[in-house]
Amino acid sequence: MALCNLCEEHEAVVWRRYSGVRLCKSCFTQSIEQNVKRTIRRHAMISKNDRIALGLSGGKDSVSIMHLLNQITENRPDIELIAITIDEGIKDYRNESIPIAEKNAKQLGIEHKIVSFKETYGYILDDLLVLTKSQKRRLKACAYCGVFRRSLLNRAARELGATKVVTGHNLDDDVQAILMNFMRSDIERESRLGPKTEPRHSKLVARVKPLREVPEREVALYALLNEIEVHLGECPYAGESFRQVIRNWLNEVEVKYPGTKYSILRGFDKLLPTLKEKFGHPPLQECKYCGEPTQYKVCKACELLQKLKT
Amino acid sequence: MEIPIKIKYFSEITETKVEEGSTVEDVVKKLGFNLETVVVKLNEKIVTEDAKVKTNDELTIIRVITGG
Ligand SMILES: [Zn+2]
Ligand SMILES: [Zn+2]
Repeated sequence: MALCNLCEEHEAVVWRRYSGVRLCKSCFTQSIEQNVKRTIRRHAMISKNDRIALGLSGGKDSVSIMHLLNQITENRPDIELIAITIDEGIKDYRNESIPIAEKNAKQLGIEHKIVSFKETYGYILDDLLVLTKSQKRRLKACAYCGVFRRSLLNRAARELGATKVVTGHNLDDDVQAILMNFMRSDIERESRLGPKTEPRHSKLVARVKPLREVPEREVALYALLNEIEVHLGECPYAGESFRQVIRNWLNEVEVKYPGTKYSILRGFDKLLPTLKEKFGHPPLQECKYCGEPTQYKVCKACELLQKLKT
Repeated sequence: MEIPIKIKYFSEITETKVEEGSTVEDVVKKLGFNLETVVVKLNEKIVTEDAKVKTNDELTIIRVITGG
C-alpha cells in the first residue's frame, strides 16, 4: 500500500495525478480546507459582518461547502450563515435530497429556508416540462431550471438580508461552463464566470464560489471520508443536457492528460480581466413583470412563463 | 492466470474474474467506468487506484459524479 507523501505515516486514500502527490485521509482533508481558505482569501470572498446565504441542494458540493464554511468561520462571530434550498419540484429527486439538506443544516445549527418554484411561479418543474411539451416549445429542462433557480436564489437571499451568496460550484462545474459558453460563442456569459460576481444592480447579491478550485471527485471524497451525509442521486433530467456531453469528454481528457481541468481554469483566469472589461457591463433594468434585475425589459424567468401562457 | 473478485455496485454484489496482478484502475476501466467519476473501496477501505487486487477481494465502486 502506498503511503501519504506528506506525513509519510498513513495510507494514501487519494493519488492526485495532476500533481503526483498521494495523501492520507487527514492530510487530504486539511488540503481541501486550505484550498478553500486560499480561494476565499485570494478573491476576498468574505468580508467583515457578512451575512452569507448558501445555496443548499443537499448534493455533495453544497453540503460540503456548508461544512467547510461553518468550520472556517467558527471564530468569526461577525459572520452569519444561512442556507437556502430551492425546491424545483422534481419527483424522486428533491424529495430525497431536501431531507438531507435539512439534516445537515440542523446538525450544524444553521438557519435553513426552503423556497419552491411552486409558491413563486405557480408551477413545479415537472409540470412546466409537460406543459411545454404539449406546446411544442419544449426547451431543455436544464435551461428552465437554471433560469428559475438562479433568479429565485438571488431573490430569496436578498429578502433574507444576505450580503453574499455562496454556491457549491466546483472545478469541474466551472471548467464545463467555460467550455460550453465558448462553444456556444456566448462570450457575455463567459465574462461572468469568475470566482466572484460583483452585483451590477442594487437588487443583486454578490455571488462567490469557494469550491471553484476543488475537483468534483475530491469534493465527493471529502464528504465520504468525513462521513458527511450527502445526496448522490442523479437529476432525472441530467441525461438531456449538453453539459453531460462536455462532462464526459472532459473526464476522458483528464484521465489521459492529468491537470487539464486546472489548466483550462488557469487559462480562463488570465483572460477574465480582458473579458470583463470588454463584455462585462451590460446595463441592467428591472423586469416589467416581476421587478427582478435583467438586461432586457422582461427577465428570462418571466419570458419563459409568458411563453407558457400563450 | 485469472483470479476471482467481487464487485459491489449500489449494494449489488457480482463476481468476476480479472488477470492476476490487476490494479484497481485496471478493474475500474474494464468495467467501463471513468476514474474521475468514481471512488473505490477495496475490502471496505478507500484506496488509490494503483492498489493491487487479490483473490476474493471485494471492490466497492461508488459513483460520485452524476448530473444535476
Ligand atoms: Zn498524511
Ligand atoms: Zn421578471
